[in-house]
Amino acid sequence: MHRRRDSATDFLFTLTLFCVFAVSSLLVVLIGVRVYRNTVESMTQNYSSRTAVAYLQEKLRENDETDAIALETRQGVSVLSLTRTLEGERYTTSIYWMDGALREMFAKQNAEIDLAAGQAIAEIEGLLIEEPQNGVWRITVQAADGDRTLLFYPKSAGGNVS
Amino acid sequence: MNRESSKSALFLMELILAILFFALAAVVCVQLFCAAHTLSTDTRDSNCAVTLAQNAAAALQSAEGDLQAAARLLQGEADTHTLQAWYTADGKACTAAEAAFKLQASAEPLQETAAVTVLRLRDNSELFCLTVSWHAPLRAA
Repeated sequence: MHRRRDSATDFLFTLTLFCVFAVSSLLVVLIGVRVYRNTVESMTQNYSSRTAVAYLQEKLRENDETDAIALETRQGVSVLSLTRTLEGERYTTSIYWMDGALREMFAKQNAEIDLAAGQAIAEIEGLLIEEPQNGVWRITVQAADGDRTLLFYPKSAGGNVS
Repeated sequence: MNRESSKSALFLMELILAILFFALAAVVCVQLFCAAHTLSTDTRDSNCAVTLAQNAAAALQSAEGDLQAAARLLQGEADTHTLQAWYTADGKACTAAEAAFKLQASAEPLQETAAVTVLRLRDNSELFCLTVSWHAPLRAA
């Protein structure tokens, strides 16, 4: 009788230990899943807004010439126009927000092209372009992870970063 | 009965060894998860800090070193040699009480330079530092 009780205790202890082991394994896996999901979500959210801001910054720097940067309203949309001369012709890169995406269109200056034909660069929720002071551009990219604001002061207006 | 007891002991021993191995693996995994989380947070904060410092540089250059004018653009405050502005974790201007980041710029008006630093208030660590220079043209008196 005594031996049988001992055997039952052994079995219960082993079973309990096994259950603790199984629960611990599950917990570690769940923690891993949560960390991985958070990291991926954060990366995905960051990607769109960061890509949009980096793209806008590079485009502005690339077109940093006197009177090259302008804010216009075309077809009811606020458009950042970057104009430059290529082989004697004036071309405009139009950057704007339409249908949930930051879009770009490169065409001859004053060409009447439907803005919906622009190429989508990044999926964002909105784009706000302002000129709070003469020569200073404030561009706000609205994305799922919040707004990102970029201030840009062109070298052609006197700026010089070092 | 003896055979049953021996089987149970063997299984227990196996289980203990498995738990030992699992415990070691779990410690390594949890450390990796923590490191991944910290790295992800640091990267997000660094990106935000770089943008804030670049914005401060643009504001200082457009204001030709006038800290008051730059502070208006950055929604911060300034005295004669220092500019300070506070931002939330996603880079929005806010008050000092609810800030995650603090931007400060120390200007050297004679050298026409300023050191822009972005601090993370949680651990008071410096996230990004940038030296800005500008040229203030001479104007007729």
